[in-house]
Amino acid sequence: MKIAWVVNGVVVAVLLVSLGTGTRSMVTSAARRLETGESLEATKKAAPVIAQKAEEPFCTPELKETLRRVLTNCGLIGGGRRGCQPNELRNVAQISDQDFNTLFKPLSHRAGIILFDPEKDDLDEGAKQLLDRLWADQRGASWFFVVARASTDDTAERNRVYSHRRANSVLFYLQERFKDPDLEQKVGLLWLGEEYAQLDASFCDWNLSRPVEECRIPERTRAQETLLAKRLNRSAVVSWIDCRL
Amino acid sequence: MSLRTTVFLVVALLGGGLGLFYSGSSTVDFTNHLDRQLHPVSCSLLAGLQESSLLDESAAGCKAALFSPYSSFWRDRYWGGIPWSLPAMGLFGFALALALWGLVTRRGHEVAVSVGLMTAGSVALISSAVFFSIAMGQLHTVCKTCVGTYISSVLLDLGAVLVFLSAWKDRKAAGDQADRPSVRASWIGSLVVLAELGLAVGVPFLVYRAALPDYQKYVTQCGTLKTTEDKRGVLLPLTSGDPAGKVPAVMVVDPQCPACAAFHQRLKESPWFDRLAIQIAPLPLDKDCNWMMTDSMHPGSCLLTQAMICAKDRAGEVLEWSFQHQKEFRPIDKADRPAQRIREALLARWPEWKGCLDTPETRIALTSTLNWAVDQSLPVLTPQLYIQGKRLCDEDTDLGLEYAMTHLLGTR
Repeated sequence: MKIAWVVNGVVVAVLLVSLGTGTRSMVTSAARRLETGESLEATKKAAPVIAQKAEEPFCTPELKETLRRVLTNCGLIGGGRRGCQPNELRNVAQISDQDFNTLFKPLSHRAGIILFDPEKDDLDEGAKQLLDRLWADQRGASWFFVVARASTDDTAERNRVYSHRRANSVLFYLQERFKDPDLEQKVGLLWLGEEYAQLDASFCDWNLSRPVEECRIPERTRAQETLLAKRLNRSAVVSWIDCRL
Repeated sequence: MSLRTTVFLVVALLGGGLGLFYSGSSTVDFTNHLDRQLHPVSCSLLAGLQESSLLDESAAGCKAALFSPYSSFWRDRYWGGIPWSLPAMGLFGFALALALWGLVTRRGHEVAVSVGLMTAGSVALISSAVFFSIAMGQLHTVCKTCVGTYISSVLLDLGAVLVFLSAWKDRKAAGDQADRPSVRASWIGSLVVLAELGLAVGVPFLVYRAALPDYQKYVTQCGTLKTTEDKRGVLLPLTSGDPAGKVPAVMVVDPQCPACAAFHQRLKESPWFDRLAIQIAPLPLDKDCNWMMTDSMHPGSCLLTQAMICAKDRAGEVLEWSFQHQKEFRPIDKADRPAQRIREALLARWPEWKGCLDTPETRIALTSTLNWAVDQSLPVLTPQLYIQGKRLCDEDTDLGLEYAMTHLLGTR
């Protein structure tokens, strides 16, 4: 009888030691992994992406450098006076007219061209709709550029005034329409008059606020070319810029 | 001891052994997760003997059981709580040892053995019945390893009852033989056996508790919001009640994300839900509107987020509705674009939003919402929960939820 209960004690002791050591081993093994951060190969996680502004492939170092210069000198970065005039811009951008336009070419799918009547700066319905659509499509962009121009119909001085007014028209419309308190920090205004980086026929493919008949003509005469250039340049190119500067 | 009692003891021994195997396997699965990482779960009647992987869909039932609040107790005191499989291990281990002792010493017909086996068998059977009803009624799924434990319980209880009846006959047949224990000795023997049962259940519990690391330092170190201010007014209320007196919280969700739906459900069922004033920060993982995504993880979620923006104070209602319809809104194949389907369903449910979806104002509001995530430098993943600006770690959104919530809310 006594022996039987001794055996019972031994069996129970073995059971308790096994349960205790087994439990301890399981928990301490997990605790060690917790402490060291050691993990199974299958469960190793890549560091999560952190939310940030957009940076599209077209944000080449050249484009960013030009944008940075323009933004700094035209008042968007670091405060100061808003907007840049043609003469200043030529110095600020430090690139030729052609190169300036080439830099913006990759934005064709993202940008729009707001067209104006001769000597006018008011926005028609098509222009407003296009602005609404483009402004609402901000996505991860930080800056909205308005690059206004004028055709060569008038004097350089008057054309400078026209392009300035056109840029302002766009800005005022956006302010009135969307009442965004941060809008001043987002919109960059450039007015080029007729003096710098005029648009050529290749911009016919961009989103235009109204149809331009001459764009549809495959073989244009010299007169038609001139007319097209005038129509395209009585404009403001507007676009969000998806670059982190 | 008769041959009959011997056979029945073997049945009880088998029940105890199998129960120890299955409850041990469940305990291993549970304790593996104490490192706050994801692990494969053995989910089979041959648990532990088969290769298991994280993506094993046949393990869904076991995962549901493991991560459910029913797999453990005292979750607010200890990270993950104390798994129920732990006392089960002790209980089955005890039954195994007692039956083995009865067989080896040929004393299986004694009252103490019958009392011990009957107690262990009854507790195992009642517990199994309770857990089975929870599985069917609450989890709506069956865990194969748990089924192994239920079968073991039935086997153990059957063996115990048969041993009890057979041993009674054995003792009656033995009459007043000299080596028959007195009534007093039988009582003492029974008490000793019950004390051993208590030890078998209690020792693993005490060891487990003592070996658990201090999780407090881990659960509060997963980041904070840069600011709890919402200058752009992008956060949407999850519930319509008065937030006064509640703890402010922000839940970053994607309406099409299954993990968000599951997390939201767990949170709703938790006792803390009513104490939190949760605001929703939508983060659609859909490249249609989210420039941070190179591919759409949850196509259509941009549109659902727009609907939440349109709903304003009723955004929580749209979120719940989206969670309920996730399966219907998921792409059928790679070419499927569910946005049109979602739009139709949304407008059928809330026709008044026809003039709100896709308007420039709504799209701008959606961009502002995403820019809130940029301003906060949030990780681009969902779900995330910030309580008083402190982030609930991803590792604590299932087993460690109650523990982490208790600490983030400062109630412990």
